[in-house]
This record gives sequence, C-alpha cells and structure tokens, in this order.
Amino acid sequence: MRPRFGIYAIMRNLLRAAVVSAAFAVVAGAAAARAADDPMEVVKVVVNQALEVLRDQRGPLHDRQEKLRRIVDAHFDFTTMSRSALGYHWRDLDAGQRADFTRTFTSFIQDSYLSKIQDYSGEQVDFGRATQPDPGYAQVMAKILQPGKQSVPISYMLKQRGGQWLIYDVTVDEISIIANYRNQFNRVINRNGFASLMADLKNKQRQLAADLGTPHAHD
Amino acid sequence: MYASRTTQLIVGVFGLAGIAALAVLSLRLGKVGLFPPPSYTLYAGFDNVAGLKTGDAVEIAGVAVGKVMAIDLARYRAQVAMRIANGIKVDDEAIASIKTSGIIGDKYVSISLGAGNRPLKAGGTIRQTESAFVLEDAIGQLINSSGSSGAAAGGKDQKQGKK
Repeated sequence: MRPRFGIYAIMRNLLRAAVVSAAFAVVAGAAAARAADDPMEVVKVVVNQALEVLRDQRGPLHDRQEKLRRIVDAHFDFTTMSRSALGYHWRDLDAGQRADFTRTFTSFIQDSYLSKIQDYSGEQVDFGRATQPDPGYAQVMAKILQPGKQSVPISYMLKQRGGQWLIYDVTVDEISIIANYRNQFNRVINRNGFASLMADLKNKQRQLAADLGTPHAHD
Repeated sequence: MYASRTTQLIVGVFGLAGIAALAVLSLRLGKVGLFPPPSYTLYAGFDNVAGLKTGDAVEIAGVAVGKVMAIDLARYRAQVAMRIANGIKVDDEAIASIKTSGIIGDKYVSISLGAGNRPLKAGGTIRQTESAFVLEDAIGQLINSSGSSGAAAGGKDQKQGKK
C-alpha cells in the first residue's frame, strides 16, 4: 500500500511551483511586521520579499532556503492549514495526534516548496483585489506573469489571528493546497487509517529533508 | 368488418399505458419532483462556473445531496445557490469545487467537508471555492509550455472529476 501524494505529480507538472514557493516566503524584516493589519499589504510584502530571495541567486542555496523558511514561519498559519487539510477527520484525533500531524505536515509542505526554489525562472506577480468573504477572513487575488507564457491566476486565503493576518491557503490555477491535500488525505485515512497516513507523510518528509540537507522534523 | 371486443380492449389498454408512460417520462425529464424533499439553501461564489447549469448535482463524497438552484452574477463573480437536503450538515470550513464527470461530461459541485465546528445555517455561504477546470485554457497552457514537461495537462488530473 503506497498511497501517492499528489505533491510530486503536481510539482513535477506545475511549472509554477516555483512561484508558489514565492508565496511561501518572506524576508524577515521590520516592514513585514508593520503591514500585518491589512491583508493585501501582508501578501504584497510576502510575495515581493520572496521574489527578492528567489531572484538573488548568489548566496548558497541552503542559506536562501532558510531565509525563505523564516519568513514563511512568520506569515503563514500552518496550524489552520494542517487542520483544514485533514478535513473532518481532524475531529476524531486527540491532542497528541493533532500536534504530531501539524508538525509533520508543516515541515513536509515547507520542504516540498523549498526544494523547488531553483525552478524559479523570472516569474512576476501582478496583484489584483482583496475581498473579505466573512469577518476575520480575507482573499487576495493576483496573477503570476510568466515570461513568454500565459498568466496564471493565484489567490491567497488569509485569516486574522490575534490581530494579525496570516496566509493559510494558496490556490494556484484553481487548485488549492488545502483542497488538494484534503482529498488525498481523506482517501488514505478512509482506506488505511490515520497511522498509515502519518507513516507515509513522515517518510516523505524525511526524504525531502535529506534532499534539502536539513535535519528532519524541523519545527 | 369490426375487430373483436378483445382486440379493442387490448388496443385501449395499450393506449392508456402509452399515455401513462409519457406522463412519467415528462415528469422525469422535466425533473419535476412531485414531493421535493425538505432542503435548505447555501451559496458559494466562483470566479468561473464554465457551463454549470441550474439543476446540476451537488455532491459530498460522490453522493448527491442537493441541486444547483440558481446561478447569478454578483460583483463579476458567479454566485451559485444550492438546495441541500435537510439533515446534511456543511461546516464553515468546507470547500466547494466545480468538477466535470468525464472529459466533456456534465459539471457538478463537489463539497469537501472541513474540520469546522459550526455548521452553516440556511442562507449561509461556503467561503472557500475552487472554480471550474476549463479545458481550452489548459490546452492553451499546454501548447505554450510544451517545452517544459506538459504542465497544464498533468497537474490538472485531479480536477477531472470522479475518477
């Protein structure tokens, strides 16, 4: 039983995975903290500073990845992302299982995108508008402009936590990270159970971490 | 010369059966429920519904739980109203996606349930959505990016619906 995680398929195929990693990245800085009360500003800061790291290919790869990881940690809400990716199965888990899953999934998804940053090839992001579907939630639309290719719609979902806007989902070309994983995790859990999902996820994460050269189970 | 009584009777019965069959057929085709099950309305906004029609199915885990009642344009986005059967609870972290059954098949709305603690009330809105997969766009992207690993086609497998 080897459930396949679509992340590989998607990453191999979605050439703009590199740009999603832009979404995942922010250079730590004072300016970033200031902007935390406006969803559009948060996304702009995250994307622009991430693009800066992606463009500047002089430093060692590992340093650039860690730079991105720090900013991502500051502006992404991985707790909400993990919880939402598990869907209704989350309710059946105890506190220990939830913490374990959140930690593993967070490392997994960060490493997945950080291992792709060398695929960046000059993409730009054109910001659209921001909407607030519900109090405490916001969506920011944008477009990825690829040199010589069609642009790709991208949208960021944000949630307000403790007065701060944090990104909890990114939808590229109408494929949302959360929805994608929710469907896959659902399938694995229903077929083989939660323990099997965790084992698979930990395996993948270890592989990724080894490729990245970072110790596993980063948190 | 007249047909026998029995023959006349048989013709009459067939005639009546034919009319009854037509009545059933028109009710079925017109999707007129004589007794519609009790249901409530939920809304969802999409960037693109690409061919979703009134009457299309709403599914959870492949099970039909409702129907698309209306599609309107609200602030340049598609606002879809759905009737969901009473007793089916949709939480506030659910995601609504427009999917296609088969390559040129019908569109339907698929709802994946989340971990939210509050079920949406009648008239509520599903916050997060994924819009329709547009084949023409994918082909366009495929042609544009044919040098780099057939991106659009592969990455979109999951949007192709049921299988």
